[in-house]
Amino acid sequence: MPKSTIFNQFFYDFKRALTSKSIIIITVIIILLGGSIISFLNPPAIASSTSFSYAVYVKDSNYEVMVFVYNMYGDPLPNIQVKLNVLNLNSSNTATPSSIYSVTDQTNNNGIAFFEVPKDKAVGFLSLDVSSGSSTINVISGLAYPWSDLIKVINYTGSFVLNPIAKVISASNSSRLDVLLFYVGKNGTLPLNYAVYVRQINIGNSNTSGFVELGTLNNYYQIFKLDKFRGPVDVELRDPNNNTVGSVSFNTEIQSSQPDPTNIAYSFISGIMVLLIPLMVILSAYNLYGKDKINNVLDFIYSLPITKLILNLSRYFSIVIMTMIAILLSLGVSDLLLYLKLGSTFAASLWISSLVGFLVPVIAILSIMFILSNLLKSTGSLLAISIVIWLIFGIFWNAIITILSFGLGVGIFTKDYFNLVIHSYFFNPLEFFSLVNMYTSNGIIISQIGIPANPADYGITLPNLFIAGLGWTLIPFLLYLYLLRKVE
Amino acid sequence: MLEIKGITKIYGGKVIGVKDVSFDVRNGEIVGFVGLNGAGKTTTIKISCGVLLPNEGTVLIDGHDIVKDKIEASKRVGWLPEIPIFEPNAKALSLLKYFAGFHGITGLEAEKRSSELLREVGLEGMADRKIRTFSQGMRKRFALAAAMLADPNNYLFDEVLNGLDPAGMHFFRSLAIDFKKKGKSILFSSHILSEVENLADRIVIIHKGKIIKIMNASELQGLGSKTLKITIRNLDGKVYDILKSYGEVSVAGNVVTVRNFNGEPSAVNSELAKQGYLIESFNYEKTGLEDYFLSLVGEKNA
Repeated sequence: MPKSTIFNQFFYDFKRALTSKSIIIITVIIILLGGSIISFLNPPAIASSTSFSYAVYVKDSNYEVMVFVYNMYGDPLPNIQVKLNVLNLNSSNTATPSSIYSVTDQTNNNGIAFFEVPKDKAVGFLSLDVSSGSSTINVISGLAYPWSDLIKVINYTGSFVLNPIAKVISASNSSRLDVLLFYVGKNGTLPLNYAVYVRQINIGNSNTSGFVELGTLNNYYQIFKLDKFRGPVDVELRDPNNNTVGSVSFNTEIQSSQPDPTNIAYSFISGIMVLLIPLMVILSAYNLYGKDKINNVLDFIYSLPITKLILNLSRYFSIVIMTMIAILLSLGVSDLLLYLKLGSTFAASLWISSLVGFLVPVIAILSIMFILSNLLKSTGSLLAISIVIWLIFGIFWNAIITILSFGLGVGIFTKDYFNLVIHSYFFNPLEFFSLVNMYTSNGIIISQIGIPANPADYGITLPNLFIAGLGWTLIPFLLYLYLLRKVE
Repeated sequence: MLEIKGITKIYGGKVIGVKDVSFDVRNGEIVGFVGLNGAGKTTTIKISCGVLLPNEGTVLIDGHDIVKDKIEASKRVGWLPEIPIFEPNAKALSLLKYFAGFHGITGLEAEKRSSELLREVGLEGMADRKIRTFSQGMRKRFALAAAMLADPNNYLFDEVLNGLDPAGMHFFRSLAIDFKKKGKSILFSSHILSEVENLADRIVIIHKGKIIKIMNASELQGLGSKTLKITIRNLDGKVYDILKSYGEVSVAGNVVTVRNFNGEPSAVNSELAKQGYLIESFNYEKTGLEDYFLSLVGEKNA
């Protein structure tokens, strides 16, 4: 089979799929609905915070203060006004202390502002005011630190650094935290060979693992991702002699009483997609294959120099690829809108689980549609049966299982009921996404309905997902290939 | 050259489409393929162009097996279906360019070739029209253009004259003769037997899925009889003398019948007129392939 023939067919089929009204309309509906929910969401309270760290060290026989200002994700904030004050807190009016020395600067593109403090002015207290925003000035810190203490530390370690390890929201998952390291070496040098260590804290388990190195600093500030760690961790910054110069303990998962808006957006958008993606596959398979097959449009093409197998597979995979592109586009646009509105994005794990979770039902439904197209003799019955399948598997599945549970005497919303519902999902390709979502979210969805949150208790394990996914993709596809040869 | 060798097609494991059908169509030859509805003509043709797979047997197109060597065989055969069905919303030129891609004709070459063919089959100016707006005849012309894309050596015309106006019938008849002159092989299925009789070099008769007769040119020539029936107002005995050299003459009232007529009807008409006979009606009947075919399939008296 010449490659040009295969390319000719695939190019034509892909072009048809690209301009398929059903794919375009459903993608637009998903994006519009996703955009609507995103427009109602507000960023979490922590998102408004601006933070800073600073370092003091000796430079050219004077003192220099380096201030680093960043947002909740640890991104440097340029053009922020920083005011350095040397205060005399021993004056008679401590409410409005007198200023010994005052200087103002703006952060550069790296979020850093520098101040020189003459040695003779390094008395009293150091105070920094950081103002974010131009119209509404928001003073976020007026923390004062005695110069005498600062000088002791500088004489001992070469520099004084406030907040060397800060918790920041993970840019790829707003429900998780990463760490931002800020450090300055002696005389303002780069903190080379300073290493970051982390260890998992297993609560209630004496088998707490040891520290592992996350990496070394190669700049004054640097973000280290903690996506391989779940729950509480210890993080340490160590100098080249392995002395700890800073440490912090915290929970990598953000414990919030309010649901994370990113998760709300994802749940809503993926919920729409679970309903509409199968419909998209059904309609595009009907328009781009079923109708042509039943109306004998394909016959003339079969008479041309191409094999039936290549022609059919070309139509099949052009629909698969186009549907997956529509899914990527829907998620991508939603993610972009989410970023513009909230400054956060869907986690990479959500993207992967979405693509895997949707690929299986797309292939399964498409194969079933292609099988029906080869068995049925009228386009009306093909469309009617397809829609009934969508209604049963996509809309009324839970209702059917609930009725079944009544029949079996299983009380509604009991553990047995959820057991039945979740196990039934293995027999419904359209619910494969739900299974993957439960697995990747580590049972959050199950816990939300008030039952134990371990997916494995309900048979949702990686091997079972693999078997179900393989079964729903391979069996209908192979059956379709068999029918293609058999039915004429 | 088209060689059909012992093909059998059984639908759904029960219904016999064709059984052990064998014949060939040589280069520079038109073979008429006749049979009743459901006799197996379309099944044979669909197998021959690779649309259907046979249960048994092979079809060779210029020596290439349509099943085992589908691509090479398909390049060498053009199919004109009885009812051409194309994607209704496709535009004529773009669909033709897509078909051209299968023959390795792409880009500007495909555009040029497709436009030429649309003009050649009488669809000039229809390039941007959607197929669904085409009449039956136009769809057949479009199918012809698609079949001619690679200028194949073999053509399969399946009831192509059905539903065509006289101009359309003339177009496809002339085309078949033109293809023949160019040395191409044409399998021409039709139930308009007089058309096939006038066009074909050989006739293959299929009935209930089996070939029951293959007739060559000389057999076709001697097939059936011609009858001249003339009503003459001033009929007299001299008419018999004039007409007896043309065949077996019989007279009933003022109607003269010449059976097994051999001659030119127009010559008879002129001669009688010259002799002063007043001719009220003049009928020339040719009973040939149709009668033979009906008798062959045992349905003549049905």
